[in-house]
Amino acid sequence: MKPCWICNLGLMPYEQALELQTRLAFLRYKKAIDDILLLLEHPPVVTLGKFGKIENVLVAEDELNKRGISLCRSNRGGDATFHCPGQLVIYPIMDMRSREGNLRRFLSDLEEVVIEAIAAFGVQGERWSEHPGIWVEGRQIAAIGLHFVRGVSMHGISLNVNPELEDFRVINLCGMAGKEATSLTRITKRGVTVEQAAEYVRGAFSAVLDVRLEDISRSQVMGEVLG
Amino acid sequence: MKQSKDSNKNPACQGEKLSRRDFLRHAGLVTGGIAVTSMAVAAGCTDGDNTTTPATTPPTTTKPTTTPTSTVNPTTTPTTILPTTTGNGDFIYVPPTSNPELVDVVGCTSKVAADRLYSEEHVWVKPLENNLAVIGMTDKMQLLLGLVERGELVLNLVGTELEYDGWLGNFEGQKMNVDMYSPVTGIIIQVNDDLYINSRVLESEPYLRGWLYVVELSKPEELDNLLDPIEYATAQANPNA
Repeated sequence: MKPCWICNLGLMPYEQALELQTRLAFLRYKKAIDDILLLLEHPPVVTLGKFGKIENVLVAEDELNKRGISLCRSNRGGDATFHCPGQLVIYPIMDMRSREGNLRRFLSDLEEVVIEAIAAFGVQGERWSEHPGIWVEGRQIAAIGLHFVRGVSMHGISLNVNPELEDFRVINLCGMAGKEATSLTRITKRGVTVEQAAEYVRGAFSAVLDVRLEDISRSQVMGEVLG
Repeated sequence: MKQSKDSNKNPACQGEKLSRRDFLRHAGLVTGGIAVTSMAVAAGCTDGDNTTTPATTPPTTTKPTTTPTSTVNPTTTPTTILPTTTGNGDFIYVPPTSNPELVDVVGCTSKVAADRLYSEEHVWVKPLENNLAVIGMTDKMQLLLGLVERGELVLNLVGTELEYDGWLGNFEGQKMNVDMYSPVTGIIIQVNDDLYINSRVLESEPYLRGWLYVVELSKPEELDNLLDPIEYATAQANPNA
């Protein structure tokens, strides 16, 4: 098993996390650090992929702002996505040059991580070939979008644990009108915490990606790694 | 905190800008446009007055008839072809009809054509006469991407000034976005319009009909920094070296 750091960043704004990923990806590209898995939550934010369509954001930006929701353009693949507290965001910064398989395989592996993690709660997640991500009974429980820069992955997959699902109505999920989001809490009808979900995600990530996870603190990542 | 062997060299932490030569040495870009079902014209490219200045005689270009948009209209006829460095009329690149000879390196599982140069980031460069070169994506790129359907390849326009290690193009598909980087500096004088009609050649004929651009090189000496076929194939066989 190859080593991979894992860091729980807690609540971090999207732009700050994007900057952090960019710098970590550069370091990984230079082989100055090992692969690193970031687990975090974002304050409410709508993000658009590099070629995402603004018309898939159903609420004007000033109205979003009134609701305390930011709007950001991203460099990841995919269309509109909504992030908020209660959603576990999983960002693996991994060097594809050191991995077997292709990029599509890596995306599929991330989907598998979520499938295995939510199975621990008795939830059966499914892939939808037309729209990558994880779906449960036609509702999206995890959204995925990746960017590869010089062989290193950025962004990843986000699992709805216990977010306010009504807030997801500000976008067309995956650019599709009428699709709804769901969550572990909603499906299981019991309270599930992000921390609980993170533990299962951690185990599934190690198994599926075949890595040995080593904890690194947020202060170490922000201070020592980035200088 | 675990230290990697290069952790004492941390240009990002020191604010040191990565040199372009370092990019060539260390690159291993995983990008690739494979199966492209449509093409999009990149926003932000130069258009209008294409009176860019190459290293030699300024070309006379025709203004692109394609308007930069986010998606391609396959029925739109893109611009006709390009100028020459000598000003002797239009230049039209016609790819060979027969497959190039391949190199054989143990451990290299992708096809590597023996008649061109390569960047470590899976872009091939085939020098032509008069400081021109054809650029395309390697077989390795399309294997890495692993997508045959529903992808979009975003390319630059004719007249775009490419910078070494600058943006060459982008592949978007299946929730993934992959950037490509130019191994040369120059001006795009031709874009492979046939890709609008048959994008699958990116997968089936990456070294023949799957070419992307013809570029007028403004720094031909950059070709010296590229890998020869054996070097490139060897790098594929030893990715962790």
